[in-house]
Amino acid sequence: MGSYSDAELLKLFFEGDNPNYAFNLIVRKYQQPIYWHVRRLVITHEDADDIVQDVFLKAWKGLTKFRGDSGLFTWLYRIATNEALSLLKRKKNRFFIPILDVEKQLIDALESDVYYSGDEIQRNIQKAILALPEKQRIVFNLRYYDEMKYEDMAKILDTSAGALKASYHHAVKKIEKFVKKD
Amino acid sequence: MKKAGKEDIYDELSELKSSLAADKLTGDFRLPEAYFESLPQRIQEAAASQQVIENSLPLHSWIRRHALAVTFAGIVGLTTIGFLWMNTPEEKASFLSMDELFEMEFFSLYANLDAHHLYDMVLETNLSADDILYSQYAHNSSEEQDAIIDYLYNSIQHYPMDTDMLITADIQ
Repeated sequence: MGSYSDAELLKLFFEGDNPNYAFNLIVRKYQQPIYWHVRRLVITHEDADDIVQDVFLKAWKGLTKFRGDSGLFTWLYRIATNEALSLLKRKKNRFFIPILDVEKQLIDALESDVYYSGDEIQRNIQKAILALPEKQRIVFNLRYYDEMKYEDMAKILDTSAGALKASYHHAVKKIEKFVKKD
Repeated sequence: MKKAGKEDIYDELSELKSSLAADKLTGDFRLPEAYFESLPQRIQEAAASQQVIENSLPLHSWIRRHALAVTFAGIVGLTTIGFLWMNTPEEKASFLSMDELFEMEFFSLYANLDAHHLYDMVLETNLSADDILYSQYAHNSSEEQDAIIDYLYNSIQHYPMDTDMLITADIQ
């Protein structure tokens, strides 16, 4: 299963006898990276689980119209990023929460998450990451945790690779400053 | 997607003299048991049930047609309101408040940056004024930080900018 390239999976989906099977392979290939990308943004497992399901349902509905202008990987990450940011925005709007309180809410969620087991150092760094502006947080996570190339990131976030590099460097400095202060 | 590789990430952090290069953090988020084994099945089931709901409302049905008509009318209405709202003259200036402009003016002098370039950097990149200025007064001796500023400055020269939307256009 792991040996299928994106092109092969798409061919199987569009030209094969069983698109359900092909889609299942796509889910199996991308479920983990998409889940972890989303989880680091929304923090709780419950929210991440909801979003990942929505991402793949949207992909299922949209795949028939997928023209392949962007890669499958880029397309799925873009849907996932938008869904995660939409959820954070909905939470903010629903409760009329100022931006700073959204960060606090995420930190509280981290503290109370039964599926989080980080030690004191990990927790502090997670808090520092959560204190970053949303887009910078996405850039940091994609680079640091997902080890993504700036060129790939640029396709997902529709920004130049240089701007993303600058953003990542700033994020690293900010995290260090936050951790030292704490 | 090919990953950048751990080496690249470490090298980059080492160049930044970051302590994050010392130990790779894992995040330490956990999962319910066998989560990824059951997820594809749950997604398939959700997709199938969504299909059933959609099929139970055929395109030619009365409800579907009226729902589409109402949705279309709503979109047209909202688009018109949005268009009129966006073209309100005061709205262009509300990109940044006067307080923010004064603050940026002050800090740009402090950081030896041209205020106009700073405004454009904020508008044309995803960074805040604080992001840009932080590198100036906190790390003004670092060549790497200078390179970032150079990059930001150069990048705004290459962006397809709508000059009417830039604050500097109003100021100049």
